[in-house]
Amino acid sequence: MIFYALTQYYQRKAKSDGGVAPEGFENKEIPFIIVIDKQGKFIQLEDTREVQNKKKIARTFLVPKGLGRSGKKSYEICNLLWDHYGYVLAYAGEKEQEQADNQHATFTAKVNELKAALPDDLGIVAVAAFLASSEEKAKVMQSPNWAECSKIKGCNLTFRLAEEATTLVCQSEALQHYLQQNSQSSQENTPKGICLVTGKPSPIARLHNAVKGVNAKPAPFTSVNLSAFESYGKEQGFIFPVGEQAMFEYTTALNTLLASDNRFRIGDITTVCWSEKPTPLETKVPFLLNGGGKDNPDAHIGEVKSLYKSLHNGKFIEPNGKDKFYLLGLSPNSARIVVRFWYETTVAKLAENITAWYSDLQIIRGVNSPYPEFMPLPRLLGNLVLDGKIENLPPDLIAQITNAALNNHLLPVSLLQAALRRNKAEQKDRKVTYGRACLIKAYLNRAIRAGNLKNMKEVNMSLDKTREDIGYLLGRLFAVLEKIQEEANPGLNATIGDRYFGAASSTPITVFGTLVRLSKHHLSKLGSVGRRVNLEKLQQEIIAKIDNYPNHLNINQQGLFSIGYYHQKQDFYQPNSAETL
Amino acid sequence: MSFILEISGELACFTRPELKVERVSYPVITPSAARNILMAIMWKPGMRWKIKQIEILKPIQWVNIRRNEVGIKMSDRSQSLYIEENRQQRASMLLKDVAYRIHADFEMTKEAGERDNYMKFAEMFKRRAKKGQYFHQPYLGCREFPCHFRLLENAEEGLPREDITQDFGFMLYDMDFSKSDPRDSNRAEPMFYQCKAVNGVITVPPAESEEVKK
Repeated sequence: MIFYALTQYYQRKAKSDGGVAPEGFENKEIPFIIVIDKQGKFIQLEDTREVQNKKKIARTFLVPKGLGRSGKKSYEICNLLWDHYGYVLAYAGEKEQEQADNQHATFTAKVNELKAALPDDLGIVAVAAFLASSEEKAKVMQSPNWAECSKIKGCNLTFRLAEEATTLVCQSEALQHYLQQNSQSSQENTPKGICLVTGKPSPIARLHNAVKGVNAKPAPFTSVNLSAFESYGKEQGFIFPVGEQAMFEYTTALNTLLASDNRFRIGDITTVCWSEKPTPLETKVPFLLNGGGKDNPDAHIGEVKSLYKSLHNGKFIEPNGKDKFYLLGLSPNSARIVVRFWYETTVAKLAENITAWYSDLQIIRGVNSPYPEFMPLPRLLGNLVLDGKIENLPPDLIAQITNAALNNHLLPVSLLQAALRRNKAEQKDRKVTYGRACLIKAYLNRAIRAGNLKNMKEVNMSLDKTREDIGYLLGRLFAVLEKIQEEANPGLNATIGDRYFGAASSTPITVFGTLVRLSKHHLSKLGSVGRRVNLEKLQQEIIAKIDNYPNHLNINQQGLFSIGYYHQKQDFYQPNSAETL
Repeated sequence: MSFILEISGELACFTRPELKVERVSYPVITPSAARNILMAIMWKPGMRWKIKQIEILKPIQWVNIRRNEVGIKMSDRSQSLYIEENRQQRASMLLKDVAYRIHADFEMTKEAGERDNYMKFAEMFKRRAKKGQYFHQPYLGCREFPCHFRLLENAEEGLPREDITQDFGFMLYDMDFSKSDPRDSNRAEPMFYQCKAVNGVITVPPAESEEVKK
């Protein structure tokens, strides 16, 4: 299904805007172009790089597909009319000159072969003439741009005729035609089988093209490199027969998606998304979940709001709702690519799920809160680890949370555990942060809706005075006691919040007795009588609902403890609350 | 005559051939895995099982786990294999909590003996399936995922069907051993078919039909 959906994407793109490379070609970054005239005389060395994000990025061009090469005899394989400076100019750089000379000999031989096959193509004739003369080649190295070019390791070079504005020699029509004929004849030799994507008999690809953008180095999506994976006596690509055409289509589609805006990365999982027909949601999903990146960190807030508008009563109303939408999550695993998740859903369902995610997360925050209204996923996850380093999260947790967000599933209990652990570990104001409160609320509400937590009603956005759950009440009480202490002793370094939070949330019976006793003393230290009466009233109101302090709170009650604490604290900051003067 | 077997298990992996290294399962059981379960209960060289229909009884759920696996094959001559040197960590995407009802039949092959006939094998199969007897533990795609089975007289006695209507694309049908040597599996070629579920029922075409691509 994955391959089939990718090949559909390729065909859709090829028909509509040609954003994908045709068969036999690929998009390659070529930083420098050698401009020559028809006689092969050197004119100039052009630098195609542009500055993007403070780095110089070379422009990509459509060139004949590069052939993979490795090993000692690698110099025998060269690309057609483009390659690095060893092949084109016999410039060795840091490698051995003998290697460069061999490479150059192969390159020259190939160009001459092309010249013999296509004597009318002016570009190829010119290149052949250029390569034949060593003074022209020397002129390249004397040009002012050469210093930059030689600094780039393995810098790729290609040719352009001075008369042409943009077309490279390797992009000429005659050459394209020649390549197509060649590829057809070479296909006669490869063994045929049934392609498992199309179901038609076709020549089977032995090695699949590499996929860039998931691993540090390009790696093939499917490969068999160890004997443990061979079966029925077959090797390499023949174990899973995929036709050459299908293989080209799906790898090109995947590479195009990974280079485009249809992808986002959380932790080590890179997710690509696309739909059957062009939809605006394709490029928006990354923003919706991931936020805008460094340039525009709040970009997603506008997107989420417009997504809410596209729903009415929770149902998607736009016309393209039924189009299929695909999500593929990939992560690296030591030079291989692992499929973390694969979903086929519809545009409507996805929009509804994402809004359900944000609705579940919503919780009250202060008027001057530094946190945005809708938090992007990486920022939320950063709340679950020390110093916000997402790398320290178990990778499966990220996959499960992304799954839950995109498919409106239950959140994993490990999320609650991680959040509660951070609550106990962190100091002062970061006891229960906005992000953590959002996640705990989302976890509890989804669990309640699924029927896992009986007799509990959903957690509200703000303080709920009628709630009777023991965890919630104890959390509220703890916040009140902390407030009393703070007002009695202003400027304390360590409040009961720091010292007792862990014990109060897991084994309340051990600490609440002490805390309530201490609060009496704190209350008597308060300056104003009115204030004392108000706080004491609030405290009594909560204690009245508690029958006795339990020995132990289970994990869901501890979650409610954190939410109760957070709600009560937020309530103290509200300007119209009766508790503040 | 059709035999109805209801199978269920906690985890299943019907591995896609193209993603065999970092395993990803097909969303539903393949006819070849179903055949294997029946063969685990009862098989003789004179029988050939054919799967007619598969019913999906539980929703399709996925789970992702990471396991330590070994990267090389042990050879016949070696005494042992040191895992430490060949350890590979691989992630697998498996199916969680699966249940299917398989409708199957068998036919006699050339290797049947003189006194073997259809009814004899049919009775043997029914007896063994009712008792829960098998040659080796039936498994759901991979040996580490065992399955429970029970024989049903008619489909209504079993669990209700899950109403799934979906086109799962091309799926592995089975391996074609017709060109292999007898009692061997060389020169085996895979066969594929278009797998479509309509209201939870997958009709599996016969192996000789046009729908099965070889």
